[in-house]
Order: sequence, then structure tokens, then C-alpha cells
Amino acid sequence: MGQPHVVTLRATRAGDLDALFRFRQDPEASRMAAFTSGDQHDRDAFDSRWARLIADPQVDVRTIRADGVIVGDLVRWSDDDGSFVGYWIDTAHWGEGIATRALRLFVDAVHDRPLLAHVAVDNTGSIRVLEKLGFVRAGSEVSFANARGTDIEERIYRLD
Amino acid sequence: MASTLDTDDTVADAPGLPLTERGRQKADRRAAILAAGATLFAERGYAGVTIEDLGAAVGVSGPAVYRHFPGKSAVLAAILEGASSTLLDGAERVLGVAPDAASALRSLIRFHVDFALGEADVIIVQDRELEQLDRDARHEVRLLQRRYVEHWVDTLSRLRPDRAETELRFRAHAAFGLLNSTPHSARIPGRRPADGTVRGILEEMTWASLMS
Repeated sequence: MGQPHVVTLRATRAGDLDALFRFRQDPEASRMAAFTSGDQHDRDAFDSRWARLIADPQVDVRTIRADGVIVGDLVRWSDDDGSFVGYWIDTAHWGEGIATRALRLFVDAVHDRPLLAHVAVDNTGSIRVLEKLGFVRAGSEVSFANARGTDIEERIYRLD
Repeated sequence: MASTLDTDDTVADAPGLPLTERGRQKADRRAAILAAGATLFAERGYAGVTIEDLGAAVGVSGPAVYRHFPGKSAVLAAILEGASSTLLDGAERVLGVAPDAASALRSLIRFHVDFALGEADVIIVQDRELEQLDRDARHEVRLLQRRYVEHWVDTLSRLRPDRAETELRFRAHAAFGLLNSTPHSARIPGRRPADGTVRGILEEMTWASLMS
């Protein structure tokens, strides 16, 4: 543990997918993320979805590294409702401040605004990250969370 | 207030000491400037990139870049010195655990393929812009590069004791040319083979070029 000396973002490559897939097999991480894709335990489905994301010029997929080691990913995508950002951090590195640092690098460099983020209401760690970076609460809705198997409240945060 | 900030910066720069939050942000931003620098220098050439461009790529003003680097040439020097030390450190790491000369060479090749596929921008910058560095920085980079090459030559001479060292050094440089072809192959129009395939091709060709 301990906080890494340097956190970096780079465009995600096919070679990163082993690690990114592995991070998604952790049940606690899935529970926190709540609104998971449903195919995250199926490696083939995961690989083909990520190959599409990486190839899509409208989607920005970054690999997060801490002191050179892959520890997560950060994705920005857009639909009719706007631009969204989401991230996933290896549970082995939770509590090290990595999400805050990665998201700060991203919002400083990418000027898509408003930038929206959806977060489960009980995901206090990520809510703290978003608030630290100046995201403000812009609403909430109840939706079905794959990883919980039930409807839960999700908050929408917004950075202008 | 200003003195507190200065103290934080000093702490951040001192190796071995725990970093403050501000120091960590500074380290992240410095790394982001280097990554953006490699991309921009590769795309537009060193002369075509300003300090403002470097700042804009990471979301800060041009003058804010000076908090991390005394100037554009220091960014270039840090990119090239960083690449050369990464290569040298990596070579020493893989050689330290290789049980015999053949696996040492395979590991060196695999390691360099990783670098070449991941850092195509840095390879372009190194090819084109090394001469832009001032004499001391250029000397430092060349020194690191020479030590890296010597690890390859040593490994090769264990495998090919029948060949003259000058020949092996020539082969090593020819192999680097092959390995460092990734910026060119990335520009091949049309569909590119999958990453795993590219890696296999490069590893096989390099081995053959050294051992033929």
C-alpha cells in the first residue's frame, strides 16, 4: 500500500486487457460499480466490447498506471444525454488516492463539458473523488444495477 | 502561503521522502507533460512545438510548464534520458533473472519489443531530435545507450563465442533497427495484424537476425 509516486494515463492497448479484465472479477469492485455491463465475467465478450471501445474515435479509453504498474482504466463516452466518465480501479489499490489523481489528469487535459458521472448512492469513495474534483450533484434516479441484481439509487454528478 | 508551497515542492523533489498531496500532483503532471511531449514532438517535430502546446496538452498554461522544466529542451532531455534509462534498467533486470544465455537473449528481445510497441513516439523523437540536446545531455543519453548495447553484445558473445565482437555489435545495431521499426509499421495502411501477432513476428525476426 502507500500512495504511488506517479500516476499516469495512456491510451489503452490490447495488451492491457488481461489486467483490466482481472480487476473486474473482484466481487467487491463489482458491487461498488453496481451498474456493470453484465458480460464482465465472459472474457470473449469483454475483449470484443473493449476492442470496439478502443477503435471508436468517439470513446476515450485510458489505462491508469501507478509507478508503471497497470491499476485501472478510465473511459469517456458520449450519447444523446452528454459526455460521461467512468473508471475502475484494482481493489488492491483502493485507498491510495489513485482515482482522484487519474481523474484530475483527465479533466485537466480534456475539456468536454459538461462531463457527467453516474455513481451508486452508497459508493462513498467515488462520490468523494468526484466532489474533490469539483463535480456537483445534478440529480438521481433509480435503475437496475446488474451487479446487485436489484434496483438501486444512483446519483448523477456533473462538472461544468 | 508562498513559503508553504515552496516547501511542498522541495519535499516532492527529494527522493525517498513521502510526497505531499501537492507533490504527488506535481509528479503526475510532470509525467503527463513528458508523455504529451513525446507525442507532440513525434507528430510535429521538436521545432514545431511550443511550451504553450505542451501546457495545453495537459491543461495548464505555458508558463506553468516552467514549474516542472526550465524549458522545452529540458523536456526533450527528460524524454530521451528517461527512455535510455528505462531500457538500461529493464535490460539489467531481465539479465539478472535469466538462467542461461539463450533465455537472456530471448528476454532482452521480448523486453525491447514491449518498449518498441509501447513507445513508438519516443523512438521517433530519439531518431530525429537527439542532436537538439545540448552537449551534456546528449553525452548522458549516448552513455546510457552504449551501456545498453553492451548488454546485448555480452549476451551475444556468450551464445556466439566464434564471432568477433565487432560483428556482434554490428548485428545488435541492425537488430535495433528492426525492433525500432514500429513507428513505420504503425503507419501501414489497412488492417494491421493483432498485437500478439506483431509481437511474435518481431521476436522471431530479431532472434533470426542475431543468430543467423
